[in-house]
Amino acid sequence: MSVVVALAGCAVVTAAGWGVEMVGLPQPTRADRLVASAEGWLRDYPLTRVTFRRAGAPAIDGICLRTSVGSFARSRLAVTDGPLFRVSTGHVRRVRGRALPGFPALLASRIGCTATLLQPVLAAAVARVHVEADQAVAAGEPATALHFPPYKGQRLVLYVSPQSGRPLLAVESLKGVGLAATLQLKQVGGAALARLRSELGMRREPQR
Amino acid sequence: MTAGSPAPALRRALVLPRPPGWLIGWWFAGRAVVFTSLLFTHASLANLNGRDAAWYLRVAKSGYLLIPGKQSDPAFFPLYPIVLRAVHALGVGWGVAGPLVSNIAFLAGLVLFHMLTRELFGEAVARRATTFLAIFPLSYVFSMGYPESLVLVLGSAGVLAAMRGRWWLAAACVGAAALARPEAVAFALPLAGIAWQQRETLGPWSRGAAVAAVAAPVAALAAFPLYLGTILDDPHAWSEAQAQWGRQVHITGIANAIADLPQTVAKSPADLRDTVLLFVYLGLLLAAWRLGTPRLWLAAAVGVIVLPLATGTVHGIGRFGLLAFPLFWGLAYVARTARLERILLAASLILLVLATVTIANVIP
Repeated sequence: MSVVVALAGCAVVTAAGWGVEMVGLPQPTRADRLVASAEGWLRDYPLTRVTFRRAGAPAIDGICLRTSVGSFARSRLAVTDGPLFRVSTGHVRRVRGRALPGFPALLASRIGCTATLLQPVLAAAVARVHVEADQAVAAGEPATALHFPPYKGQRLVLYVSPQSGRPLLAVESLKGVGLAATLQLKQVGGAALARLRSELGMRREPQR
Repeated sequence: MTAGSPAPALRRALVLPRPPGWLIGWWFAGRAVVFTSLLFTHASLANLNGRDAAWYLRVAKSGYLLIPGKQSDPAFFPLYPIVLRAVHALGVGWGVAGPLVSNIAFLAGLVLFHMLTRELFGEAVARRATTFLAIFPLSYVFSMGYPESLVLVLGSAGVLAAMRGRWWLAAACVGAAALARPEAVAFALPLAGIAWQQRETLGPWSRGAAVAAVAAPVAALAAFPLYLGTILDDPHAWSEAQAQWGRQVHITGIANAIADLPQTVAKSPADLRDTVLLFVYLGLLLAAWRLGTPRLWLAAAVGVIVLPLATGTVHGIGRFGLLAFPLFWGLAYVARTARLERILLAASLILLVLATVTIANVIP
């Protein structure tokens, strides 16, 4: 008898605790959770294979490799058969190759590199800003479009997998110029990373 | 109302006796020192909502969200934000809700702590221990938007209820305490001691209730990962978030924390304070043992003070120790002569001022 009462009592305490939490606290929206998941993906994956598309122009392929993390994260963005850019938060500088006429390099670096794309996503997750979510299709897959609030004339829409929150496509517009980046997030390490760093001309760049 | 109806008993269980004047006086004195120190120095009242308090407020406003690889709010237990939300729903502003709840709960906590201590050691020790708790150097934490005051109320009420054979009330109180701070699990030990003392007089139903009360903190604790699993699909969200604060329990954690003490102390004033307090607390536990504190109470206090070291750092020990009641019984024992009591009261008030004015620089 005592054992049954004790077990029932414990079950009631656990259930009551769970119930109080369910009733007493607001629950995160689906958009909140997807933003947090997308942040995790962007943090975990340093390499992006990316295809840039904009209205009236041919698609451009490239890769972007994160070379350091933190508030001042840096990356290298290489356009296939085109220029190589050094990217840091808010800045992009061409270090090799000829400029591509009309190619919005700053916009491309903002949405084509995980380090820079991470910044607005992280800020939204931490500050719990209201992010609209709706169903869409991106890169041929069902997706959820996360509409971030406009900031200084910039408008970011991130399309993520509805199940995992994996970023699939980022679209950003700035002063009437729009650019879409189809994202393939990749892990890279060992010899492949060394080869890639060499190709991107960053042998001597210190890694933080 | 008939004499046999449960309402009067329930009312007795829920209504606090009128606090004695001296207790209100010391509570007021302690809070006046805290608020005055904040107002007349570079620190400000906004500091009462700083640090962890800001995280509790965030949970109260928006609920939980785990941000992988970043410090995020599932590291903070849910009861205090739930109370803040309830108080806010009554029309109290977010900025006021935390300090208001904490300071009022601290008064109630002092009353219950005094009643509990009086049952264990008599009026003289109870009065000294309660006075020292009211003006303890780190007691400014009880005025911040932190859940310590709430745990003081619920833990004291739970143990008192158990002493009076109200085991279901005890289960509810200590269960709720464990939803506010994980240290509340330590209340299971004194409850087990009380249940053991009462074993001959308890019927099968009451014995089951007593066992449930002893297990209630752990049972309530289980509700938190269950809840996080429900809303975030991740029952481990608490430990993942804790890890981002450098709080991950490791088997060699205590040894590492002690081995790293010299470097830690040199690096951070907060850790220097916590290291000093760790040794002060151990000394006070020794005094509590000399006073005749029951062993399970001592074991619970050792758990509250020493187990956080398993995360490899002394950081926060000063604050965690506020919920180890035997420390204040030990302090009452140390101050057993009138002269020593006066010296320690004066020292405590001075240190409370110093601790409060450094609130912005030394994380509590």
